[in-house]
Amino acid sequence: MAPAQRVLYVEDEPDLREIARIALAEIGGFEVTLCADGGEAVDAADISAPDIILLDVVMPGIDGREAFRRLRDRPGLAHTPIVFVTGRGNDEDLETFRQLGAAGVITKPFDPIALPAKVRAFLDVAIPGDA
Amino acid sequence: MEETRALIERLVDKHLESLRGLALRIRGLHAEMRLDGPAAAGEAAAAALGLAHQIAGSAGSIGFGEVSIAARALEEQFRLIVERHEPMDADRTALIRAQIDRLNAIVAAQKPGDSTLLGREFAAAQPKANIRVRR
Repeated sequence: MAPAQRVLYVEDEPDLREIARIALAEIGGFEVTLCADGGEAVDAADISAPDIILLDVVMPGIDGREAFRRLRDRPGLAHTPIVFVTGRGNDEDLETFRQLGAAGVITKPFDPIALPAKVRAFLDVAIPGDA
Repeated sequence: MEETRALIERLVDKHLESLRGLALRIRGLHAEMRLDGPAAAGEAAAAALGLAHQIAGSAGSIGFGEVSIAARALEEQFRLIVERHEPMDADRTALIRAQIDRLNAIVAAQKPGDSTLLGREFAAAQPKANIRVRR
């Protein structure tokens, strides 16, 4: 059996991290790495080599936008899909995410039961020709 | 899937307890805000904005949608003060106080069994395909 796809989920709210872990790992079958802030995410991404990164926007310290830039600069992550997870999905924010090169946006609150399918959909788009 | 359900039940219990604490902290922060303009509201408003944002994002994902909606309304009010620098005048203070009372009342009325997550089916889904992302 092929190894599970790897998700790096970055979120400062601990209960959201836990529900996402349950949804993605227990229900979705993904291998999940959790981080509480952007700085931690940059370090963890080097080690876990994620197939996709889910990134909260509003976090203390290094926020999601700055974390996005730093992750993109890492060797091996230039083409990894990064999806912003945000409670602020206004037009201005969406345009910023698009200009940064985000693969998409998941709006909070999200439905955890539907989360694995959403992540798979982003991964499918990220691998043109392989589906 | 029984194990998954047990994990979710424990998380719902813990989250509800956390929501109660956060809603009370917002009430305390509001009491620190004074009526003489945005500068006075300052740090307390920014902290309250962060807490309201936290509740709005997390409560809905853990099955407490009504709590999330009440917190989002409050978040918008604090955002006007913190980001748009609108005055913390008597009318806004009264509106925010009413919204905080509403949030606390909704949170206090919730029981773990009210989480809509607990009524859901948790079918284990195997990954559709274990395709590696090209780099």
